[in-house]
Amino acid sequence: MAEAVEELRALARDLLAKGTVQVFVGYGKGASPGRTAPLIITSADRAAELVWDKHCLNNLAVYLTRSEVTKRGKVGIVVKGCDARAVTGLLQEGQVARENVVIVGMSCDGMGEPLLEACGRCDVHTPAGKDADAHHLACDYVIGKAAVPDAQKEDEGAEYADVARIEALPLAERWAFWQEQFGRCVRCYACRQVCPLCYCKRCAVEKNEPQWLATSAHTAGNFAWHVIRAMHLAGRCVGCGACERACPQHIPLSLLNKKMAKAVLQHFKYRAGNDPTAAPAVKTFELSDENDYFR
Amino acid sequence: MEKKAETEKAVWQPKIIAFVCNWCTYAGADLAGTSRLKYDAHIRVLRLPCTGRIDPLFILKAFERGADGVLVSGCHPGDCHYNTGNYHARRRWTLFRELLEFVGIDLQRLQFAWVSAAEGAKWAEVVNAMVAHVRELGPFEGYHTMLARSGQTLWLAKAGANGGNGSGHDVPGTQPVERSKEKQETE
Amino acid sequence: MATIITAENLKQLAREMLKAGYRVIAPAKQADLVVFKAIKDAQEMLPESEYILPQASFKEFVFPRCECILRYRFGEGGKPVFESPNLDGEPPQAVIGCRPCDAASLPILDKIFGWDYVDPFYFKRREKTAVISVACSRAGEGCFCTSAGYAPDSTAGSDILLKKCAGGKYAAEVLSDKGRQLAEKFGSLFEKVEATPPVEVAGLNPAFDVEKIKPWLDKHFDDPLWLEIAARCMGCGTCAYGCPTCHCFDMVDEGDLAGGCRLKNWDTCSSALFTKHGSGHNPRSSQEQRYRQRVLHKFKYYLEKFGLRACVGCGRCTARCPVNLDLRGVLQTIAGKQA
Repeated sequence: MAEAVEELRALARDLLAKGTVQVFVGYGKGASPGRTAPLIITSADRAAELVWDKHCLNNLAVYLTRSEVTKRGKVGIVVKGCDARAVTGLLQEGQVARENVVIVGMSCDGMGEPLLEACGRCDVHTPAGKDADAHHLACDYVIGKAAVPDAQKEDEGAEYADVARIEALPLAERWAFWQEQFGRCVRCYACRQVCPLCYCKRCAVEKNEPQWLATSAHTAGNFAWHVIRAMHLAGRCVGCGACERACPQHIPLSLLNKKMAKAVLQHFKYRAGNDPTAAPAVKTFELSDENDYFR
Repeated sequence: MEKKAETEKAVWQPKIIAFVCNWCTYAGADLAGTSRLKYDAHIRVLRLPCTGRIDPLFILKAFERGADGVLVSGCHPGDCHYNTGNYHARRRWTLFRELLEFVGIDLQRLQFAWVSAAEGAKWAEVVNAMVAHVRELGPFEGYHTMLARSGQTLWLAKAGANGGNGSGHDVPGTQPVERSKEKQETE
Repeated sequence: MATIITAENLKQLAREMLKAGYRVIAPAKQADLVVFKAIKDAQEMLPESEYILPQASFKEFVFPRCECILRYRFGEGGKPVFESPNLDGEPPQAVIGCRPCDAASLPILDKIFGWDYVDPFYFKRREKTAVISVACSRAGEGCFCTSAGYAPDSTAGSDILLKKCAGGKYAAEVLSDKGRQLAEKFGSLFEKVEATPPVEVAGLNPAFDVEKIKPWLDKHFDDPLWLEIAARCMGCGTCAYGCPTCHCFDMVDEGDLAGGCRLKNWDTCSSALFTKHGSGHNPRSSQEQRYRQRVLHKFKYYLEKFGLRACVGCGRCTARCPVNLDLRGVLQTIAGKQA
């Protein structure tokens, strides 16, 4: 990691000094123990503040649709393999112009101390570099080993074990579980704000003619909010886990998104964020899509 | 007043909301009518131009407003008036019903059908089957309890049936309405 | 003469208060978090050693996150019948085991809720709330109460302040009439001793001179520092909703065929919608403008208006923030810039 950070700092310094990018988004020192914080710099001399360690959890792709950042000009951004999927998603959906971003992929052995569970199953430890084919996001730079991403996972067992645990519960217990979880939500919208794919300028919950989704933090309102958010992210969520990490109430939000990802994979053979040229699953259809549940 | 008291004691009837497309299912339902086919009347039909217009939010809203079941129906795949609307809708619902089941909703309360403009008889069958299912399941108590604890007035009034959390629990200042008081005011 | 209560008796106090019909609010476990809960059983109450600060403040018990302030039902002939919630029917409540910083938030909230309109929804609950705080025997990593003008053993807002002393006991300082009444009502649980035993109170050096903050804020509304600090702010409400002194709310009407209610819901100035006008114009359209407002409100406007800063230095905002935005660090930077 130590060499990587020096290489990263040198690269950022260079990109900013030459004007290749006007703003660089990476990780900097955090305020609380065991944390880093997103670092957004506009001058080369601040490149020394960049860090790279086991605590670089945030998905920085969220800044690619924030005008406070993009209004500066071209953006240089640090991504891990998992974060790069969100960038791919944004490209697929036309939210980012590829030529306006300089993507710096970081080879990552996993985050968290102890290692995050998802990191233990990662298949994109090193994001693809310039040699990637048209169906993979090509980072402009890769710090660490550059390689083509691993093949798609065959075994969903491990990946969706936590989803399966809920699915195995009887219906009434499932309902009770989620009632308890949704009852604790305070509608801070941290889940939405940190999500790179929640970029709508006007969120569904902000529509008030009529007020489709109650804004109040009661269970019924929270239920509708989380269900609709999961639906709006179906086939788009890349499973970075930022929402769940951001939730101050520790609601296991990723269960909802993973359930959708599992359904999208099973029914439509699609994984979000792999292929920048692919049409998102819910944007397209097949004539042979599942029809069994229709009378 | 006596009539009211009588209906109070009457059997609960399911409330089913149907979201249907204008070109196929709505026409099919109309055909059922003109053919004088009898089918269960405990259904309210909402007409949309296409099943592709049906937002999952509509389905949630129906449950929020007291539906015990929701039926969604449109043109057969390949027959959509707008060519592809129902294909897009189908993908959405494949996911949405899995999500609702995941959070603990019995999918017998959310049914889907393809009913063409010529299938008046099928419409009657589909509705009868749906209403029968939901009648068997009973009122959507789980959802209604959630609404009552969230201070939704309609459901606080019926909170007695649910016990437990039907107390406006999430929203201080909403206590369940006493049934006797409510009756007095509506009489 | 000093008053002592043992840790066991503190639990017993909770037990007896529950039996006497109090709502007892104490730090308790919820999944992997420590939160303020209205406990059903004294066993749920966590001992002081198992937490420094619960995850959020206890303000929801005097300022609920979603509260009905007016209800209506359709009566005879469809005429609406209006009802106000029965605030007098609320039980007395006691917060046991909060820290002095959280207790100090109450005098701060009193100012805004008692300003141009005496808010009964706040005060009726506030009047029924007794606060038994426990002074901190150790400081948290993010704490900066001493910078904000408080201390690990501040008395502000507390009715009884407990300080840890040897042998699993607390020295109890009765600070108000409410506290005196409680100590008398449950007198059997307290014992009198000759002299105050040595107490364990954390030391915490101030991170910055708070007196330097307002002078800088007065003159640097347009400073580029705001964009530098706040470019990474996500604009969620995590800080505001955990903060003991944040008090903004949104009024929302919810209704159905049978009636409806007017709700008072927590709101956050970090949200873009907070100042969006019906015309579409937004005077705080950019995140750094919203973050600037947050700091100015707490350290300038509130101070000018009420003589108190709207911050007790608990550090929750930073700990909870998804991007670890560091208020203490921001204030240190500002104080450093002010000669």
